[in-house]
Amino acid sequence: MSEEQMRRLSALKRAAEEIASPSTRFGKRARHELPRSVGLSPQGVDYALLHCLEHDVARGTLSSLKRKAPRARRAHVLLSANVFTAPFRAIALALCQSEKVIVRPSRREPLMTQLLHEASGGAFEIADELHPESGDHFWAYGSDDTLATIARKLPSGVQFHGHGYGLGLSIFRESPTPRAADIERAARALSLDICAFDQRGCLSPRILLIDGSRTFAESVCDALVTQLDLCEAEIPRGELSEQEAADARWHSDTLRYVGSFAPAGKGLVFLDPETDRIILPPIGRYLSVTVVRDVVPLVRRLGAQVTTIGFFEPGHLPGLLRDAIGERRFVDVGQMQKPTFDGPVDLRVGYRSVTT
Amino acid sequence: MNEDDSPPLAVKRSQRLHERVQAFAASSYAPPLVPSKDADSFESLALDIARFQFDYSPGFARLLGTEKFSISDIDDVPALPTDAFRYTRVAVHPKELDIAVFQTSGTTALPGRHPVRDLSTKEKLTLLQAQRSLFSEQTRGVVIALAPPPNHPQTSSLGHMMELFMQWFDGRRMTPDPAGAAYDANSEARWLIGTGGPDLNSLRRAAKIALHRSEPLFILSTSFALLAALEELDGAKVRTPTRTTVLLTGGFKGKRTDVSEERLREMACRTFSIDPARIIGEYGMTELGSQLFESPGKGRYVAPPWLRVRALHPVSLKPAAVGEPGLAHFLDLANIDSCLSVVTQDLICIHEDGIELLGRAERSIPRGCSLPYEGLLSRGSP
Repeated sequence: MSEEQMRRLSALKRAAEEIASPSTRFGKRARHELPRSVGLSPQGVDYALLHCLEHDVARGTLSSLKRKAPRARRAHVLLSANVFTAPFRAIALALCQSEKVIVRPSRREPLMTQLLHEASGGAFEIADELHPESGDHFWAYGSDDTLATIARKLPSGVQFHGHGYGLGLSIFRESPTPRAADIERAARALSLDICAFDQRGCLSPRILLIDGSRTFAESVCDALVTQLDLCEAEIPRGELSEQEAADARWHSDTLRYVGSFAPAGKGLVFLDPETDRIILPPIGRYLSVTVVRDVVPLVRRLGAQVTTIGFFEPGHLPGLLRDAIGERRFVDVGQMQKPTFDGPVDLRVGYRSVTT
Repeated sequence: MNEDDSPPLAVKRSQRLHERVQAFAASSYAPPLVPSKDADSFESLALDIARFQFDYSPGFARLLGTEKFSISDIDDVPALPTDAFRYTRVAVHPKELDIAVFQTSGTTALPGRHPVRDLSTKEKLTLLQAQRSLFSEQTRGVVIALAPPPNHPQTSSLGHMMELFMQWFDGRRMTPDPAGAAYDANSEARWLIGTGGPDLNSLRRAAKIALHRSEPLFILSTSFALLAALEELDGAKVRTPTRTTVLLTGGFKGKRTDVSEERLREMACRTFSIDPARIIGEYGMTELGSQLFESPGKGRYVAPPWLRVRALHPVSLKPAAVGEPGLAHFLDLANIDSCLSVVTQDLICIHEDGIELLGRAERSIPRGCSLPYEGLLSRGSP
């Protein structure tokens, strides 16, 4: 790694540390301004800055990432749809490739990128438009449609890294002697994974699969309702956009008729009366819980969309699921929103790129 | 709630409501000179159906969210999203009393299902409405469908309507001189989509029979099937009698986006040499017992008197202003045994002269990178 690259990476890391701290100028500004643009409550922003922004990444980790990353003359980063803390990792990965990193922030939420830029003393460039040339690397984060459009428009010879939407799953396996205290702890951990970003992230759990009895599922749901209620008091849900609120209303009214759900904080927990059926809930702290007869084939069917799986009592499942769907983030519940800083968050794609 | 009541009482109450709705529908098109003081209004019937559904449908009672039925204004009847028809059984009666279960088509992993205990009201109301609109100038015609022959038991509400129109407004064997010949409801000469696509020879033959009988030809079709037939005809015209009419229903369900409905109508007018007003749109859905027909040549849809349509704001579910788009909401008196009040993801505008259909509600770009809400992702065995 060149000294200049390391200097820029270190400056970016220090910027993240400043922003994460509630007592610094940048930390205060982030906490003051971000809630308006990202749709989270002030407590939700604070939680994400303290627990999900990877400001405590070690210098050694950055060096090792640099060795893994493909070298580039220039790296471009297009941030169109991410959670608000994601720009840090996205820019850091680009800086591992090149001293010259140009970023176009999300139009809806440009603030985090601006703060990182200011606090790092300009470790990367911000631009309204990106103009990659042959040989450059281009990282884009957005919907599959957006990514396909971008890939079509890029000049030939660009290395394109597209990272699309994703879904977090959680799996609770019933042990022979489940203990209420363990279930409660796991429910607390999952609730925090749910509350981070109000489920707007590609790692956010929205579906819980129960590998066990319906009685076990009911006790898990009860514990989740309690914990999500507590989380609502500690980290209130933010404002939903009109589309999100419409989805939430549609979903809630549907489930009210179907039955088998319980309000939990401002969201709800739905225990599907049907086995093996997956209903994807809207974002905003809505969780669908499904009892499954055989986890592996069901996860295989969802595999293309899954980015991470958070386990309670995993047993051999991570290995079986890795064989079934390939590399993903298999973590303990409670760690779903804290992925190891080991490269791109989304291991479905990782460092893979296509040459345009 | 009255969940433990024996089914016969529920069936009796349902039956009485069916009779009242049929009477209301008949009188709404031909009002008596001196109305009976006991005559039902839309509001009184809607409230009684809502009360009945509250008493016998736990799901509807949950949707209402109260211990006792206390609604006195039909605007307060809660709306059931159509997804409920996919996730659970939406019916007041038990499965054993189903005489039909209509299912949604399309590409979703789990179809919506609408169980029916008694088809008489749906059929009578559909025919009443068709007599006033589609078949208003003619008591008889040659009726064909660009659709595959129906399965029995019938699972398509559209297929059921087509079958009803064929039987009621034609009801004769598909021959030039049908006297004495038995009517064949499943005749391939009438259902013109086979495994090989549209049967153009049978289409031309039906047109010739209609010309021979000096009766109009009625072509009932989905947009997709009509386009397939027109493309196969490749510009060739089909000679048809005067007053030939095309009943056009459904969009392309994501299968074709390269041809607009306007273009499709132009192609049909040219092929069958008919006036644009002779193409009449139909808007119906599996979850409803009733449907809307287009006002000929106006591009606006009109609901029958037993169906009240509103555009609702997607979050508040309050009525949108006249001319403002909103989610299509229906209070359908024909849905006695399922759910009276249904809201869909279709966008509409209510105008003074009718209802404008705007297609599916488009989604805005989500914040963040989580998979957008879409409901069902997967079910059961692969």
